[in-house]
Amino acid sequence: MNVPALVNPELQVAAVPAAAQRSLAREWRLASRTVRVSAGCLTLFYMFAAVSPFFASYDPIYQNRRMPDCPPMQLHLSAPSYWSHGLLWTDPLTMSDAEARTYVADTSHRIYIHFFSGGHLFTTDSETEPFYLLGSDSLGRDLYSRIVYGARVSMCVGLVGVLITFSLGIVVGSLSGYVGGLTDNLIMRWSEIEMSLPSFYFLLALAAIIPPGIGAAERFLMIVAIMSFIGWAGLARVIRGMASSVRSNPYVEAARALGGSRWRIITQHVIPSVIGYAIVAATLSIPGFILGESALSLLGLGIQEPTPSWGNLLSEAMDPQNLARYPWILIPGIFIFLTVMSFNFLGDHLRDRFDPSNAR
Amino acid sequence: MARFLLRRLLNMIPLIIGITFISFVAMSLVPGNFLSALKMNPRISPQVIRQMEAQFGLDQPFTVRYFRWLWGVLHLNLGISMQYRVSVTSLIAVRAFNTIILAVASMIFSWVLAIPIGIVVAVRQNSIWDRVLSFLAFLGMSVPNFFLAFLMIYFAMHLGKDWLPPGGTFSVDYSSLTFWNRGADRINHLILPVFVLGVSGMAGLMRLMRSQILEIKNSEFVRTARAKGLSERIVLYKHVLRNALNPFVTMAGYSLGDLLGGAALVEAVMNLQGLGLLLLNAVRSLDIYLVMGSVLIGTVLLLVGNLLADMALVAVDPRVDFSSVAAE
Amino acid sequence: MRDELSRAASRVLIATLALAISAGCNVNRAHNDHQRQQILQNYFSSDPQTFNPILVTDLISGRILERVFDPLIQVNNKTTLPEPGIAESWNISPDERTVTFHLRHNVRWFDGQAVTAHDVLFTLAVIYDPKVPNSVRPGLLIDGKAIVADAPDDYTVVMHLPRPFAPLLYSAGIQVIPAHILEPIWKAGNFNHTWGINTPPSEIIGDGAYKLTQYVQGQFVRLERNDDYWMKDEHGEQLPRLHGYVSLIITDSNATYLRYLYGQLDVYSPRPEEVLDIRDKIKQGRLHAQLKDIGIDTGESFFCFNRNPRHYTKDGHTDPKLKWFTDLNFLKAVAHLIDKKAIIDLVEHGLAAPAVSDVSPENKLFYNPNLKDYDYDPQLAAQILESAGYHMVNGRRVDPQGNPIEFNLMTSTGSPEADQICAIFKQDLENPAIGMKVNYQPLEFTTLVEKVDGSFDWDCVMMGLTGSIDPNDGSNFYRSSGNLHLWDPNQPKPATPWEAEIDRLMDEGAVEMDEQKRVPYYWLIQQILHDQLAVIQITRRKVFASWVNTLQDYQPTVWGLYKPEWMYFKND
Repeated sequence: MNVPALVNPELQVAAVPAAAQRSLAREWRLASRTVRVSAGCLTLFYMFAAVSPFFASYDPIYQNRRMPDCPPMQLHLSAPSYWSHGLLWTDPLTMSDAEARTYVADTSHRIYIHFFSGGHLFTTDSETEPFYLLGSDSLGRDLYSRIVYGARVSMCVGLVGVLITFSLGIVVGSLSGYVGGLTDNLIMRWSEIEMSLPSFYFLLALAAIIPPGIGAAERFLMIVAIMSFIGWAGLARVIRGMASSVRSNPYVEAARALGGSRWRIITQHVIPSVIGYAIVAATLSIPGFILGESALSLLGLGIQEPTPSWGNLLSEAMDPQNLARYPWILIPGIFIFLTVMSFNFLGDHLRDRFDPSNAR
Repeated sequence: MARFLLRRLLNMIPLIIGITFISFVAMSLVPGNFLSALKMNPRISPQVIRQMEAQFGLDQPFTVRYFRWLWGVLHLNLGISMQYRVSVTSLIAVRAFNTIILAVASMIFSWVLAIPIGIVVAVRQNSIWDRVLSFLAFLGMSVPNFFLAFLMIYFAMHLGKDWLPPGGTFSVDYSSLTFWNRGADRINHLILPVFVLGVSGMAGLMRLMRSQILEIKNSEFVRTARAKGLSERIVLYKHVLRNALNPFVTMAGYSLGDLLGGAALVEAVMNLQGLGLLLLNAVRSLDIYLVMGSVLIGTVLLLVGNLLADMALVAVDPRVDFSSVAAE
Repeated sequence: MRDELSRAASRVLIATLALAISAGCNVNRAHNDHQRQQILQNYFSSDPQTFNPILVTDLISGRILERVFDPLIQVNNKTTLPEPGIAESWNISPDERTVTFHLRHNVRWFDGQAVTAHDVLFTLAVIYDPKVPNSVRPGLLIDGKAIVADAPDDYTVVMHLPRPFAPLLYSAGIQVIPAHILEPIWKAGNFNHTWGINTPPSEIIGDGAYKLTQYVQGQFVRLERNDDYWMKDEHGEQLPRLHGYVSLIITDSNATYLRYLYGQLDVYSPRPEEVLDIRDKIKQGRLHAQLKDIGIDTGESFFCFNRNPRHYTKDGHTDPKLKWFTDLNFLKAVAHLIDKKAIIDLVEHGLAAPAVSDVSPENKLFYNPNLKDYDYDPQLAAQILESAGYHMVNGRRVDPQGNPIEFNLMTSTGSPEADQICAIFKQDLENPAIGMKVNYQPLEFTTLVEKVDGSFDWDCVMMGLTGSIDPNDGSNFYRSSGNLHLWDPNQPKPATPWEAEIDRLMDEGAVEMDEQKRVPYYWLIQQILHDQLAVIQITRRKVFASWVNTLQDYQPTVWGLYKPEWMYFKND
């Protein structure tokens, strides 16, 4: 057998635990600027999700019925002598035409923005005279606060979905591909059953069965979790195809010849060889989860009013008049875009760090 | 190989029965049936609804209905759609044809563009092309495809009447066209939907291809191959590409099945006559035999697709043989 | 390797692009302008389900077939009174038990055969056939009995009623089907499978103004003028004037609107937010179209609480909800908490009116204008609750027994407007001064109906019903024995005195033949429903119609088109 370039398998995998042990600080230094920005974005969004009441300025479901579809408000810096009132201020907006929902600035007084007041990052004295950083929606709810709360669903949906799908997909796929034979046949037939089951009915059936008492977000996370338990099959098939290719690699054969146990070979050789692909595929599948939720919301199976999610906020924009008249309702799309990009850059970086041939 | 084929084909029979049975169970979990919706019509009396229930066999117990359906399938009779009151086969046939054309066209569109682009940007990693194309890919992934469809109609309408049709599978005056113009008319109607359905898939594929190439380019065996003095051309086609394609081959096997049912919202926006919307509405209105018919078709396509993919894997990836993808 | 790879990849790319460009080929066709050909392009939101006029249960099939089959008599959409159809006149005997219809002599089926009394009798026989499930029959049953009809000659039909039955002239708008074609099929027992959507259009033999000529599933329906139609205009010119219809089937409403804006559709029924947009575009000269306010929605939408005792009593234990939902004070408080102004302003863009009665003001004859609405007044609502023994404890509203008030609110999925109305309702009930808790749950329509009408497993529902001109059509809703008597359906006998009263009024109103004398019965029913808050009305939309400038004599009403045969395109 031709094994000239065979690197000591022990050495190769040693890179992985070592990488994991590296301190965060070192990782940060190694990362490029893009990666740092991405990590920053994701951290911020996850903080949105974790402490939404702090980041949000107002209650995300509070309807200010006098200010529907209000545009984002302009910020002004106060003169130093007014800093005791607040560093920043804005003109209150009042609706000038209730039908067309146009607003004029009321210059008679100013709304001062207070930081760290009432347990919020920034807010104003009252909900009835609000500051809408990103405008309001058609029921007069603060879009910024809704985006902050929406992160709870949208940031978790992707993560929960990916974690379940990918841990199952990688383990089962590697096992199936490496072991082959009857095990492989059984697992793959099972995966085919799962793949061809129309997941949509399960959603329908679930939606009808889950009691209405539990919150919309919890309910949806439950649905995502269940769907991911069904949805790992596609990935498992791909991983299995790659694993069956790894099987005949010289170093794996060598490891087998040296008497490595099956489990050991799978965890130390097969999985590391597919992990690069899996990480990229995982980061690429996150937008699918976030956007899938918006499609489900359109069909009435996703997150429901009044709970916000980025997906259902964005689906409000799919209306020719809304889009033209109130373009700020597209802003949730920007957050989705930033998330998608950040996850991918981070995924690329992770892949590079895990790639044994890059480990030096 | 013949044994492998035979075995897999035989395997399909219990699989299809299992899948259809589970689907039937899932449909029965949803309370009510197709006729429930009619109860809200003040002009339809409960007696009429009971009659219709008997007519469609909905008053029978669950197992009886399933086995009746299965018996019908063995006689190539997929049952009657309650919503349209015609045979499921006749409903599905036309739409399946349209959907398969659309699905295959958008798959070709996304794969034929994504794989070369993925290679180019991988080879020129971190170049301006890599950055611009990656940015566009992320943008493509961040837009729900039904939203993109909507934007495309906007765009088509803006171009003017005679450029791109904003929806439909063919024109209203289709039947009065000559043979060649019919073909052209169909293709014209395919452009926008293929673009919409292809874009998001393409973005993901391109990124995956890029990372596969990057990974394999640096791997031990490619270095080995090069060290052995093989020509670049052979290293490229024989080692890098063939290995990089492995996951894509598997994916191709099942993505056709995905595209078949996954485009319901795009179909709704673009007025396409496809299976997705038919299935979605059938599920929502609990038109059970129509749903089962679509499940059956989807399942067969998926199983055949997977089988072909496994065979293609052997052909493409030098390290995979039948013994590793087929049960001994 | 770098060069090798990218060269290969680039080659593939260039080849693909070249292919793509050549694929964008143009279709050579004579310039097709439907307006010049007097063809109207409109739209349907879904496919038809049948081409058999007797079996129709869906809206779209009904709208197609009303052009293909003429009714015996019909309702004038402008006056809401019965007017001639195939029957050019009718008379009622003095004892009000015999109605004689005189048919036109010049109505022909598409195959040239005359439409005769035999066709009408055959149609009735099919409708009464218990093996043919249809939605026409209930309207033609009097006390559960069929109407006996006979034909003294080819052009006269006489109906014998067991007792006077006022709604007959509204129910008699049946579409007549050709006996010479369908009778053998019916006798062979195949009627239920005849004239489905797969039937070649040329086999659908009607007698209406248009023939069905083409149907492509999910794409379009095409109708062509029946040149032998019996109707002539005042100058003796052949009607209808339009040569045909092409109805595009477009499921998505936003896409439909875009198609209207860009001239692919000639008529459009705008949603409230689109009304403003169309108005602006017409004003700016960017859209050459008309926009008209044609009235108020004929249907109703309401919140309804479940008062069905069968649902609440389990194992000898009764859910406290039953007490709340049958407590008039509780219901009044809720009625005062519905912010109709906010719903109109925010959800309907100002283009709606508060609904008070369950009958639409568009029903000029039967609408009761004297009802007084429950005004939005959270303070009053809190007072009503307090004085009825519902107090605040730890920020939650509790009933006199100390159970916190919490219930589920359901509606059907897929309507953003319903979502928003429920969000507004929820916020008002959860307002700190009220302190109730509402769990909002949108459900798939079939599931919702199954809960509301099958398992009775629900607390509160927001839903809508369509309206009809004759209130007797709403029997299933008004009568305590009806299955659409949502709050407590299928009662063996009326559970409350006011439900018994409504049943009595329904009986008496149906016997009175003079329309004007029928009115007080139905006014009283509206009053009782309003007082007892069996359903809590929300709002009714203003209905708008928009059509292209070139379309002349297009007269939409909330009940349908008026004189559709008269419209035509005026091309310059």
